Amino acid sequence: MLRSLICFTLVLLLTSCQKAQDWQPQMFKLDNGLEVILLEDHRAPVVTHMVWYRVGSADDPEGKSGLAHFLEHLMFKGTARLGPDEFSRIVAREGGVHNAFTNNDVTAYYQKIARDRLETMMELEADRMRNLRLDEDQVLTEREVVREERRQRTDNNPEAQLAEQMRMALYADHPYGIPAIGYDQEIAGLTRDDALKFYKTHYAPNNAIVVLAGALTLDEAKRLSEKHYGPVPKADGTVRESPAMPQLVTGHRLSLNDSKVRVPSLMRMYIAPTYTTSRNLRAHAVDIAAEILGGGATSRLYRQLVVNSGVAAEAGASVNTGGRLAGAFYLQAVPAEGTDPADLETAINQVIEEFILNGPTQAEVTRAAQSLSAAAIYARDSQMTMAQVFGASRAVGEPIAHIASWPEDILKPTPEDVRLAAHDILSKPYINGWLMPLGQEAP
Amino acid sequence: MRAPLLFLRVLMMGCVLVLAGCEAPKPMDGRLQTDGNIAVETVKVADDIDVWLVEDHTVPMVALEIRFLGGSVEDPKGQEGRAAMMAALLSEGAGAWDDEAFALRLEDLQMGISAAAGEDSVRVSARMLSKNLEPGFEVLQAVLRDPRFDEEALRRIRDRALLGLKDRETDPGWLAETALKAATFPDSPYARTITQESLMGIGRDEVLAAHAHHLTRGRMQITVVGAIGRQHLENLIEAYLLDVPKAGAAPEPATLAVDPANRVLKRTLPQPQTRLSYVAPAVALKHDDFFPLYLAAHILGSGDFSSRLMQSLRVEKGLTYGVGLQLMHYKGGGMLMGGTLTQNARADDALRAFRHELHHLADQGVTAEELDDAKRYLTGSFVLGFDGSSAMASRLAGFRAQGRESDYVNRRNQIIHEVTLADVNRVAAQYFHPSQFTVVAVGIPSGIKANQVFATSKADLKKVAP
Repeated sequence: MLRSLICFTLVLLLTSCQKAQDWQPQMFKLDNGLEVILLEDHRAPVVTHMVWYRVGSADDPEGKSGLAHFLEHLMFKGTARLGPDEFSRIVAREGGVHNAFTNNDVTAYYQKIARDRLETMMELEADRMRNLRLDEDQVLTEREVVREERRQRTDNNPEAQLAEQMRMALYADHPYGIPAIGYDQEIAGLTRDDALKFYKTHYAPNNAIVVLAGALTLDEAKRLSEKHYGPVPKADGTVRESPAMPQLVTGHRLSLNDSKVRVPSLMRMYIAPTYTTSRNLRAHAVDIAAEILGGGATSRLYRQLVVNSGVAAEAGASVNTGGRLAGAFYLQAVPAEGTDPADLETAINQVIEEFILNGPTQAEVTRAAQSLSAAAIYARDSQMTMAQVFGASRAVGEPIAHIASWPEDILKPTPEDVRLAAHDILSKPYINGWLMPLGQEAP
Repeated sequence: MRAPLLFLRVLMMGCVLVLAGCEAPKPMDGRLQTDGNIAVETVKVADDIDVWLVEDHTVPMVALEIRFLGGSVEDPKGQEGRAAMMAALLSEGAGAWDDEAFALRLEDLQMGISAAAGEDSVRVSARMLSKNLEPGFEVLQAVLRDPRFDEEALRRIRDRALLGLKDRETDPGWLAETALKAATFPDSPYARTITQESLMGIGRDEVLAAHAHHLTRGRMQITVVGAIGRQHLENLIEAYLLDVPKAGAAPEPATLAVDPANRVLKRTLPQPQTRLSYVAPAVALKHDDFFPLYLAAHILGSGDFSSRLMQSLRVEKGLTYGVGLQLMHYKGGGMLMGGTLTQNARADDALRAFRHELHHLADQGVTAEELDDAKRYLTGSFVLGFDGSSAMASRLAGFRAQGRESDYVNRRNQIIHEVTLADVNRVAAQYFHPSQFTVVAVGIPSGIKANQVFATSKADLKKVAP
């Protein structure tokens, strides 16, 4: 039940869970600019209510990294009519669960609750959309909580530290290179005024999306949204900046030796296109490429490196194709006991080179595409997953029709489409990161 | 393979994964009725198999949970990890399919199978699309009856497990867990730990022995949720799942009795934060104190902001991102356990605050309002966890393996409502006194000495309380 910070994991999970099938989404807009998406699901008297703001850590002002996420924490500290943490207590007393998260692009809040308590949740969210009140002492205490959160997530954990450094190298001076949780020394300087200013600029109905998933008809959704969110005044000047992504001209090799590391591991990051930065099924082809290369026990990396040659204990690939301005393609591997890490790297390079030269077989593409498409059926089993998929994709600007037609579209790329998509990503410079035990040199 | 004895899952920290999950989704479903009741049918197959079924056709898929009672606590001494290895190998090839053919077959059918050994049961979970039920059951049959346990796959899975053992040498959660187990229930089968030696002693013969021992009809419980009717299910089970051997040993009883060691232990690990983990004796499900304890633990240590530990350590003092305590229960017994993470320099502050809250709870109990809030939350949110077919199947199977009846899900809220303030305050005094607890601090905690006594007299406690 803690507010959580999503760096990139959520997006990875979303793209691996994939999107909806015939849960036909319905969408409408209020006069104040608020967009509402309804995903009807009448299996049980339950709804998931999410509010997505089109603001994330990439919007943090310079020198104030972590501000979007800090504000997410402070959003539970009360409004003109609600005392500190009363929000959580009300949701709990109504038998609901709730949480919130922040990533590069979005900040989102949700509750899952019995259908007949939905109105209370809408009242609470509409209230804190414009009426946040912050007490100086509570802001300072919460700042310490966030610093503990950073220690817990990142500073305790060499793998997270290396990944943070790798993202900085991958995205250079682009805001995506700055960790969503912020740098400790910058978090330590964030103030109540910083938070309120950021809040006033970005939190408004015309910068938000409400997703309702559950036992609700379109008429009810319209009536309730109008009643609770309709009166919230819109804000001016919420135009979002879209800084251009610098080109990585040369790759970087990073490594971190740490006494807590007992087993070496390799992580590699490439810049990748996303559903909002590319067209013509390019992102679909990228998802398929990742699935074929490293999606599981039948993937090329796993078969060739773990099973056949045995140089790796683990090997896989994944891709984040959900970002607003750029995505990332990841390779990960753990050398088998006794394998020289340099040999593992050579073996990975061979798999990649062969793939981008000759491409996948038709059978591989068909199988990967079908399992991704089937994942969309399984995703429908979860109201929350559906709400997340639609909310996250829509919040970065993906047209709703594209999200809904994803399970069919994913079947369209050809082997050559997939090869080209992989070639475009994997023939470019990359960030190579080795996590090593003390006293063992990275290749 | 992850360490299967993750039962000191100390922190209920909402990390990024809180939100995730295509495997165990979080929505509603099943024949969940508008009154919140779940219609669990019992389907009898042959004379000895009772299947729990919840039929729902909203999503064209079926989730199956098969539990074999008796789990890793039955690993022979010196072969710790045997049940876990066997379970991990179930999805590495079966019947005519070697590991690769098996993985391809699963992909072609767009189905998923996973298996794992818990302390008290071995779990096999499957989900399949309703258009592929027949071939899906055929795969399941092979997995249960004819797993190949090929030497090559065994070596691969074992090598990965060995790396996992190395990796966890510096995992603060693991260090805390082993320290607490050694201090409070060293001789219980629940304290057994997989080691390099025990893994190296598990070859194909041992895995085959584990398969014969665990996967028998006498131990098998099947729970099914999704788009399948009673008759169809009966036919499929008759056709594919009846050749699991009938005979076999009954699950062995094992005891988990936690000793209230009343000590603070220390383990050094170079990192910015100290992990505090704690454990105290509690009871298993059948005990009269179970539900009052469940409520008291919720009020003290649920991960929610309204819990006392979160209020004190996070909201008021800014000591941590998360803190919790919960009632964990197994067939052989129960325990209160939990933990928190805080910067090394403030480890002692966090420990004092924790002790203060324990003392306060044991001495003063909870208020009627707190109990009412807890009941409202626990009864209102119960239904939210039956979140889709996979989640519902897994929860129902879990209740069933614990020995509860099929109508438990519809009676559970009433049980919670019936717990009285006097019950809760009685167990609060009995189970939550600081002297019941053993604490371990992992990190470079300042102000904490190894082997200091955690609680002495009440007077002392009042003095140190913040």
